[in-house]
Amino acid sequence: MARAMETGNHTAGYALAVAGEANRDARGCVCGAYPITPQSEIIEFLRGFVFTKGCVVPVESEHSAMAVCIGASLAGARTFTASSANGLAYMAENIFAAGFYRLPVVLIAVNRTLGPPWNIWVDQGDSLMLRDAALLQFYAESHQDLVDTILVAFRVGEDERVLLPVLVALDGFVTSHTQMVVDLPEQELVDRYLPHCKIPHRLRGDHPTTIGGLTWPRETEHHRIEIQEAMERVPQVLTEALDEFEQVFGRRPHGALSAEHTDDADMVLIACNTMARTLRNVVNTRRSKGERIGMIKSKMFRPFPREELLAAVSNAKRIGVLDRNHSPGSGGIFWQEVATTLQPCPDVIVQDYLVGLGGGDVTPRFIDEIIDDLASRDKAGKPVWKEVAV
Amino acid sequence: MREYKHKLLGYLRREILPTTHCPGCGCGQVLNAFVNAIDDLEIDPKNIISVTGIGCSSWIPSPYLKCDTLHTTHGRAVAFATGVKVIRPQANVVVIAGDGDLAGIGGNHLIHAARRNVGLAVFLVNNYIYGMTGGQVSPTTPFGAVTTTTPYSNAEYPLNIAEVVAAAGANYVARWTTYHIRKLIAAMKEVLQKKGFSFIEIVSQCPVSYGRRVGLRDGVAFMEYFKKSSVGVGTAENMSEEELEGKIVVGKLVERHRIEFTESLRRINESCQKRASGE
Repeated sequence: MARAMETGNHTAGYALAVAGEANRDARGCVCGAYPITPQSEIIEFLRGFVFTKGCVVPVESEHSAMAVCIGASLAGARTFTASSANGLAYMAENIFAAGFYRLPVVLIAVNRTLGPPWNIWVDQGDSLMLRDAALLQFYAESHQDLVDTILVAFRVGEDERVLLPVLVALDGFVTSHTQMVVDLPEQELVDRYLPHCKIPHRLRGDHPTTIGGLTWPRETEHHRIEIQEAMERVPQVLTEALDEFEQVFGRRPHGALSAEHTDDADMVLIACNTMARTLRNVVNTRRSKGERIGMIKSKMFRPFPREELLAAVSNAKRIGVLDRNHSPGSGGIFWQEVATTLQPCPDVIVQDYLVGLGGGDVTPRFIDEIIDDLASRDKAGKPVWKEVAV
Repeated sequence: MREYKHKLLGYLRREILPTTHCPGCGCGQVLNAFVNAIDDLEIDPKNIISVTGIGCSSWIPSPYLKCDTLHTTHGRAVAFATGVKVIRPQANVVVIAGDGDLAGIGGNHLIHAARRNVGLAVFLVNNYIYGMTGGQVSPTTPFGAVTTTTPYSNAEYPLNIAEVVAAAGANYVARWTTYHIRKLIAAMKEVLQKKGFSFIEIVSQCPVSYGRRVGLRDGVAFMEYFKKSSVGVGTAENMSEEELEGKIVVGKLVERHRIEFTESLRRINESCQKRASGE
């Protein structure tokens, strides 16, 4: 392992580069690239990397960036790209296409607020807008989590039992532009971890195929059922990918979710990305004072880990969800998933907190206030706007 | 002591000056030229609707110019402006945006608005780069140039965007640089009075995100480069493609008198109404 002090963006760029290079003895790798703040350093890093077999194509839009990935993936290559906010919105049509074509493109989403009005700071409304695409979604809490999750993403997405695109999200600026000490795995280890990318339905001259033509409702139903079944196979494939990761790299990345101190906890808070790190500090401080409180870092959003969540909160009476996103007319998007999952437990209070939208800095003080609010509740109410910006 | 007050300061929102543009940037020159043009023509800013996209040059009017301004999504300013123009045909609808925005991600909208001949004044500020995001290759970056996304050299040839707009059918197309400020003001005045799609490619400078990687480290170096490299359209007509390599052809490229889009719509509508009422 090479220990380095790196920014989140360069960490992501490095992980994509070594994953792409690991396919050099097969059909190589391709990245369709278009700049957008705060993602641009990822594609800049990749443009500086000299691939043995592969290339980065700097195209004229995010829509084209994903189209290049789709074309290259159908030609058999390992493919990846990165974007943020309105770039993801513009790319969305082809992100849906990549999923429906069953292509394992890895997409890095550096979370940023959707505009207009324009705002470049972190908010997860951009990647969560894609929740209904046939796309796996992971949220990375640190630089190490990021590099590990990206490698796992290739492994899981390209598995023939899955064959779906995978999104790995990180917080804009908070993660993308700050430096942390990170173990950047050497090429040789990544070569061992990632098998050659095989796209079973790739374009082949000896077996001419038309991909993406017209279908009838019957075929569409089957197509969607197949995607759902592939999503349902993800937990098993992920477990195997993590086992193998541990064998090759000697450490085990977090899985779909990680429950901390939930066994004896009356109250459980749920968060993802860097907000989970702040939450961990607050929870540990309060536990040291004797409070029975736990937390869940929610890492995989699609497929949503319902069974793991139900098992992790089996003793909880109150659950607070921290959402750095907002679905107008409803509430937080993680909260919707948690509340749906908790339907079999009608006595549990599931309260939503909309916090840190538009990049507001969620400091421990605000999380303390949220916990105090949750503790005082005898029933759940409307999603609470926890304003933190000054 | 009397406070110095520029005669055109009334067109700007003083409370938010200075602008966010970097030292040596051409965006201030474009803003200056535009304000001079509307002042000379005595156009009331209340009759101007400016529409911008995403990028440094979209900040030329937004938020500094004291007129209605629509700061839109990346590349789509021309399409938004078309919507404004069809419902406010008498207004001066002005689009100011960059090469990455209008020629890159929004290239399709630009071509079709030119073909449709929508009565917009479009100023494309071409600084050869995606400046705001830190200097990535754009569709107008010269072949071989070093940028943050072409660290070893650009493999692509640039788009001659003014020629593309001319071929698409625009009523007026010109190209000037920020060095030719008087000519630029005169051309802007022509555009603001012209019916139909009117377009100026303004070759501008980005010393910070582009120039420092290609040996043009400040605004003055760019002015000297623009002065040295510019060739008038008349002279260019007698030059070969090889001789024009690396030159900037300046002047009016096209002037047509096709019917403007909203006027054409209005006439069709009137004729339908006449037919319906049995006249």
